[in-house]
Amino acid sequence: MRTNVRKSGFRGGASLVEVMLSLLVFMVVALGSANYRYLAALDLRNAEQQLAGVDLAVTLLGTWQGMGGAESFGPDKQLSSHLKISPAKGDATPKGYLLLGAYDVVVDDRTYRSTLYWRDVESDLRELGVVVSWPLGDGQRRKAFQLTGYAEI
Amino acid sequence: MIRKRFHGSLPGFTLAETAVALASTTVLILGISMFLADNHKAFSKTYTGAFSSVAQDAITARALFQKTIRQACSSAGMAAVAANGSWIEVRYHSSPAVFAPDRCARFERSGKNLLLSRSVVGTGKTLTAETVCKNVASVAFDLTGDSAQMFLVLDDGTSSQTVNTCANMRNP
Repeated sequence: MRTNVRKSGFRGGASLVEVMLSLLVFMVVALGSANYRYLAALDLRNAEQQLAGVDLAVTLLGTWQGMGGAESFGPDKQLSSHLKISPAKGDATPKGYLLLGAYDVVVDDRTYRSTLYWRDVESDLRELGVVVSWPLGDGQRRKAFQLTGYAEI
Repeated sequence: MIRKRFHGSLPGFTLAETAVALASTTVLILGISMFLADNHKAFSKTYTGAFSSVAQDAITARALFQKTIRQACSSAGMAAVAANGSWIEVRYHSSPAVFAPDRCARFERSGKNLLLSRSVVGTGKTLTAETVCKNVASVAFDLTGDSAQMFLVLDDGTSSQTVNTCANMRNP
């Protein structure tokens, strides 16, 4: 006589532990991918901010150089028709330099703080400096970009 | 014939337990799905912006403007800018052997394009005319002393780039 065991409906399926483990693996992969994408997007945003900060420093320093490093240079006057710029409290001036001014500049809805300073290294040569800084992430830390140029006076 | 009857002998979940489990699982899955979808959307937007033609055009416009202005003459009357800042024109030497500036470079907006044309001073004959970048949302030029500024905004509808740059006219 043949033994006829019907397994239909009772075939061994995935146990709860197996299902939970599968879900766990899936979640780790999904969250890992999401974290990677988040960090990539964050790095890209930081890079864009840095590019805008560098652009601003180049613009401020180049314009100041174009005026021969004059002490009368005021970005809030010369560049106000093109940039949202206003006087502000800037970063500390490096030791040995004189402060020209500090300004808040809004580019793409982000505020960049710029500090302009100078000193005469020769009787006919002036060293000009610009520091542009902007908040990183939650705003507790700041990233800064410093640029130095020279102008004949 | 052996028959195994499990009917009614297996411990299972009650309807209430199943309903609660399904409800909580649904909420969890929906939450995670929305998080992942938002994450993917933000990443795609950032990625598209970084590798869009706008980003490439921004780099080109910045480099070309600085290169052109740096070779220009800074003497009085060698550079001009429109009153509304829509164009800028500078003069430069075609070669070191030439005594006076004999070439003219002009950046000008034409529709959604930013054009750079080079011509011969005196005759006005156009030598080259090239499109620096497309998708120009706004552009303004300015002259301050020996320096020239460009304030350019590019926008192709999906991403935008702002280019604020400056260069000094280096030649006498």
